[in-house]
Amino acid sequence: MKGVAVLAVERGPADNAVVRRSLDEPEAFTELFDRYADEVHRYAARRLGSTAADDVMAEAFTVAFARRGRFDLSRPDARPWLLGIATNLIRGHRRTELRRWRAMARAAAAGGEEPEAERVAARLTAQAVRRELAAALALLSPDQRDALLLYAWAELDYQEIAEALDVPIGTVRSRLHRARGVLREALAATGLQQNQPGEARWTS
Amino acid sequence: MDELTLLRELDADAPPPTREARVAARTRLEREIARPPAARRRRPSWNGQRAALVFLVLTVIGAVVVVARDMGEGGELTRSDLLRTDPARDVLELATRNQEGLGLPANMRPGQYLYTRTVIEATPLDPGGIHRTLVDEGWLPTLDQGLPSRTCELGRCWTAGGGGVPSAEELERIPREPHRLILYARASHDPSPPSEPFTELDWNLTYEFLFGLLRTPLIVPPDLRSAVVRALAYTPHARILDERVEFHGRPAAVIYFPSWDPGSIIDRYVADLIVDRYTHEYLGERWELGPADMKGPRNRRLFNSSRVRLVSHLEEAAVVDRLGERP
Repeated sequence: MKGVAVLAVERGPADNAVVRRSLDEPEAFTELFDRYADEVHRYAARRLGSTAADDVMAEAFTVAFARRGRFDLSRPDARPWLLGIATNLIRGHRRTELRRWRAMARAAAAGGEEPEAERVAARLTAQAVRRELAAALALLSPDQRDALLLYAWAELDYQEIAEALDVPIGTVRSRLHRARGVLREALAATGLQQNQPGEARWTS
Repeated sequence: MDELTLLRELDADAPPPTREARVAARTRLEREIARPPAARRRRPSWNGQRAALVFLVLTVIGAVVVVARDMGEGGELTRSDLLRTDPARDVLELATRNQEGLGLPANMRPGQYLYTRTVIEATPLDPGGIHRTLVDEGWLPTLDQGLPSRTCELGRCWTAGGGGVPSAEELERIPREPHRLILYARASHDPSPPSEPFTELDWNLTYEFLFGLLRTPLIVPPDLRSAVVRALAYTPHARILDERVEFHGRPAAVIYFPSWDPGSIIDRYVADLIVDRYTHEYLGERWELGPADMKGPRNRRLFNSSRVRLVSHLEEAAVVDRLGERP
């Protein structure tokens, strides 16, 4: 996903030009599908699994096409907009997503993990703390989870997340701050990472 | 290594869409593009600058949701033109039956839990499948205390943080007028403006909220339950199977949705609700699991069938003082 910016240079007209053209020539909109379908799917698949991600990918572009008249044509990049639509669709699968995190946490717990001392000694990887990460993601509020995963997995910056979720940038900062606090606390409990003082866990 | 780096590594090798899924999605988009403009979803004319968003934190069964309302200049909702004006008579007739005084809401103090016990009869539709009777229990706290909740789904249970049931004051704030209630429900999980007319996703969000209210026993006031049924009459899909008898012999009606395209989001996520014919109290629901639900080893082992029909009955509901306590 780091290569997206490079692709943007190589791929022809900017996204806003594509959207503008699609207002008169609707078929032009398929260009956005070709550019971003894999990225939208990848983001959704990490949250919901591949099957539900297929639906989200298909629905996201259909919804985006229907709403292209609302796209802010001053923005050259349509990724935040598309990922925002996908995020809203993922909310319709909230139960599926929660089941996924809980199942992942349980599977990791039942998977015969190494003793604690060995885990601490081992190289710290996402695989080693899979259970804690999944459990922490299940604990987050939907708003916090959306902001965090758009940042960590879709690699949007604060401004882009604000555009994607249609909230002020300060709200994005605060949601990310709290979400990272929950993650840090979950990891601190394993002894694998120090918790940051003053980080409160989301509880409501 | 910090928590973000670890999170970025989690499932970083998620596979790209299959060729078939990609082609199917692109074909769907091309089909939408090829439709005559009049048949497409109309381009929204929502004026965001005039829309004042009123946020209200509310949770119905396990989710904190942000609710936004579209307010016109006079403070009135202005989007009623999105919805049907000719209500489904069978649903409306059910809504008018609520007998005053029946099913008064229970008081739930902060820190208490709403306990539910539901029995599910699962009937496999393939030869050789296994019939199961499953019991799901749940403990939902009041929303404002940040207490953990415990939930079961087809016999598998877990404890989680967050979520709960709304307070009586929050329930009182929910509009009773059908069009206002529908728009309120639509905004409950997604404050972005709805499409004109509602898309499948808009309806999915709306039904999720309305069903959440109907599914929550004891604490939802009877007038709100009836308002939900009345609102359903103004949706394009809800229908009633009346004069049914529920598992324990109670007079029941089934609210169902015959008009979804098979495979649509809502076809997969909205169940048929079974409610009392007179009080609209939640009695249970019925739904089906299909091949997509049988991909996991647990469900395959549990039912040994590609399709399973499930009917649930709410056996017990009570307010208790502690997580794990049974009445």
